[in-house]
Amino acid sequence: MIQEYKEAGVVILFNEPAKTIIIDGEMRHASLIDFKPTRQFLWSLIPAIQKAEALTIDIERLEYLNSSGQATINMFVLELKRETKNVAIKVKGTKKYEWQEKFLHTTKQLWGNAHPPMIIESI
Amino acid sequence: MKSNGKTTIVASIEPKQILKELALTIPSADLRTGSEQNTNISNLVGEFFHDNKKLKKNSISSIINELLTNGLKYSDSDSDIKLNSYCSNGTFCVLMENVCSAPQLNYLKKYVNTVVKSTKSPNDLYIERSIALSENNELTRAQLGLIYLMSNFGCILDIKTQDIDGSCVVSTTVLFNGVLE
Repeated sequence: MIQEYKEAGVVILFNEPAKTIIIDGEMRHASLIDFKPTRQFLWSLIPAIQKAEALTIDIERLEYLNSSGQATINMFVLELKRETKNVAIKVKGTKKYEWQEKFLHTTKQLWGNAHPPMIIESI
Repeated sequence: MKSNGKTTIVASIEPKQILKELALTIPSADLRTGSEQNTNISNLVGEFFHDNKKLKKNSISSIINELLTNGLKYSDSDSDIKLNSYCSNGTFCVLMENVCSAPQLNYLKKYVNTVVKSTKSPNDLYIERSIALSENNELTRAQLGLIYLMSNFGCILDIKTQDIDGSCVVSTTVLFNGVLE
């Protein structure tokens, strides 16, 4: 089953069989409140993720992510850290957009020593 | 200091001095209509200064977008936001001026004191703030914008305020050398 969230500038797909969340486009709303619908969609996926053994968050085609967008994704990652046990999380990005290197690094820092360790992939 | 409601753009390129300059005056009311106008302006500046070497469109556009978002949060509704950007020998510099009210100014000063004047590293501030947002489930003010500029892009920030004709003008200077921390 594939679930889709779409709004101006961004598409988020949750491919449950492939255990992958793909975020495409740009997340540039001015405030956290503006990201509320995005947040609701991401949080609604947590029960399905809890049943999975692995999850890949693919941001390779996410061109822009401002501070409110990063705060939203970071809160989601920290929620996964709290609410999932034994789910191997991988975050996949690209070197094409320079901000992604730093973002992937801080995402791993936020995950910390939680088990299983988070895997970061930048291509 | 009231806005005349028109966006103005002045651009110049001096090849011999490797100098590019772009000046924009943007009515804050235009930016309040949604994120589209901010995106258009940010991408325009990104395209203008993109040099295929150190300064990439994506990074410049991200910096301008964040700066305008922050400026708008601390701007009077009927004022202009002035953005003067230039590039010299691979360093991108932008000066933003916006007019804010006394309550907005007090809030901004507290924010600046905890972020720009902090002795902690931008990365540590970023991690701390992100964890606090999650633990407190805060959905009002992220207060991550200036930290994002310093942490993600290695920007050097300077923020000054001055009283001009009874209005409080906030001047934000950002330096970016194209090398991400």
